[in-house]
Amino acid sequence: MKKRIFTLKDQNDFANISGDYNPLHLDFVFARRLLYGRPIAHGMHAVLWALDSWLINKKEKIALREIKIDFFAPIPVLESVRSEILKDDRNNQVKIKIDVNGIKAVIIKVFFSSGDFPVHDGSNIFNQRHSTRGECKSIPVNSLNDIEGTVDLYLSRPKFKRMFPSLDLFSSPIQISELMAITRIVGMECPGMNSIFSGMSLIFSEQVNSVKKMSFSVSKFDERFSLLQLKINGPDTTGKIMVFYRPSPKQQPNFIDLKKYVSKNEFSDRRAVVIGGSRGLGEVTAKLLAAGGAEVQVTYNVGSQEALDLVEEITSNGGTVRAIKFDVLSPPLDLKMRLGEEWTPSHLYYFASPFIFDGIQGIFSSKLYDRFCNYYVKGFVDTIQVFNKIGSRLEEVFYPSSVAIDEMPLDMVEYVASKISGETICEFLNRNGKTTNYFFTRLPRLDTDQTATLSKVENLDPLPYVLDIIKGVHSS
Amino acid sequence: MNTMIELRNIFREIFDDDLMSISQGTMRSNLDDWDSISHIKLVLTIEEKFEIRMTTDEVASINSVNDFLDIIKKNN
Repeated sequence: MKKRIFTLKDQNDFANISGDYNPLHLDFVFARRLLYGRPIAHGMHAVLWALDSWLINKKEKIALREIKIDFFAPIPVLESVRSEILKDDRNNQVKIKIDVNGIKAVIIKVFFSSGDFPVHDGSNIFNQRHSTRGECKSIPVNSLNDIEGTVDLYLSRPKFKRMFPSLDLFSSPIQISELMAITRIVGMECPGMNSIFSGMSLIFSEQVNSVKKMSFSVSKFDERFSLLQLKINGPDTTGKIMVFYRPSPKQQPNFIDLKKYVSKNEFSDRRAVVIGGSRGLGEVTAKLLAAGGAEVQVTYNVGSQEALDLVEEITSNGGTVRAIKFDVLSPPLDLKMRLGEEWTPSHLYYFASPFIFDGIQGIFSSKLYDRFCNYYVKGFVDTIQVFNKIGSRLEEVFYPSSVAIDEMPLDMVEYVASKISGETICEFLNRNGKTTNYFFTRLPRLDTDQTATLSKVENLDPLPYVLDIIKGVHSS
Repeated sequence: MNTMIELRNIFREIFDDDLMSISQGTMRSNLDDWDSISHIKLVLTIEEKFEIRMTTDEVASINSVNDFLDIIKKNN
């Protein structure tokens, strides 16, 4: 059994040798808006690591004859990963499992031949320089059916050897270059940007043709699941790969369109702070408040560009908004200066949140519970305290709770428990005799980055719920 | 073709458990590994095996082995 974590540096190194620079694997700010809330390791990176770990002990040259890979769960960077040989028998079959924090992520089944084969030479089949960074294509979902193309085969042996020394020594460089090409096809070409690798099944022949390319074509797109099937051909391999077309970050309604839902001066008496206002529910809240004449300040932690884009959109259309950096896990001491010395907020809307859908059915994770409490309990309290410390006289503070408390999904116990605590904090603060009204609403599943899934799940439009919140149709 | 046996073999393949046993009453909520990805794999494999195609509503409605059996019976 082998263990490791994948760091962003590991990811960048793999991108460098594979040519798969999809930002889902490399860019924390970009990836936080996607399906898993943070960067995930390339599926092929994990597979090659697992095969390399197997070959360390095997110590004999092998040539792949068949390989079947099924991806069941993502491998987030910085999470504990384990590779375990489930079967390695005399029939030249090996089965390897990769799990993340004990949960099955990948199953690899390989049939191989042992010994020295022509495929172990053939360095003339592929280009030996490492691949240059190409464009990560973004193909619209309605254009997928006719896609076909080719990618060149690359393998920088020295760089590959540093990362996967046993694979370099004991396996076929041609076959490795083909596996690298597959991750490049999926992550950069088809479907490219919106890809989530689901699985593949390849057969390798003993004959190697001299074409230095791998070709691919779409054979099927299942709209029910946004699942793409590609046929591929390389110098000695044919097969199919399965890829999900993942949803793009959710674009919320623009400021001009939202103006019609509020009166011009409906909120002109408010100075509102929207914590986590650069996207999602916070973004919709900020836009509606500004459309109603409020002076708004949105906070961001890592999404500075999104916050600036929001400011530009609102101010160029007549609204009043600023953006400030604010980390609820470590609220700034110079908050007064950031807000402006003369600017005193009257309303606060708290939308700070980590990635929500990280739970595992039937399991309570203390680590996950702590993460949620850091945002939904401690972060909330610390934020209120730092605003009180600078002399804010907040009339109202909004805390978003969730219908998950009523529904109790089996994979969200940590989230539910922390939201219940957040509601309790609101009730305590209300009873504590201050003038501020703390109110919460149990919101249903609303259409934001957080609720995007691969399967068809109905997410509700946030607009009517945010309108109720800011117009005062609420209970505490 | 014994449908239950075929389904059992499919479940064993998808969940990668050669000793797995299922019954008509096996529920999605009882199997920790029966998540959305596994669900899709089950649907696609069952469709291919029984030469049927399920609607999006049927896919969403499946919560047990019995639900699969009903759909297979309806389509055949």
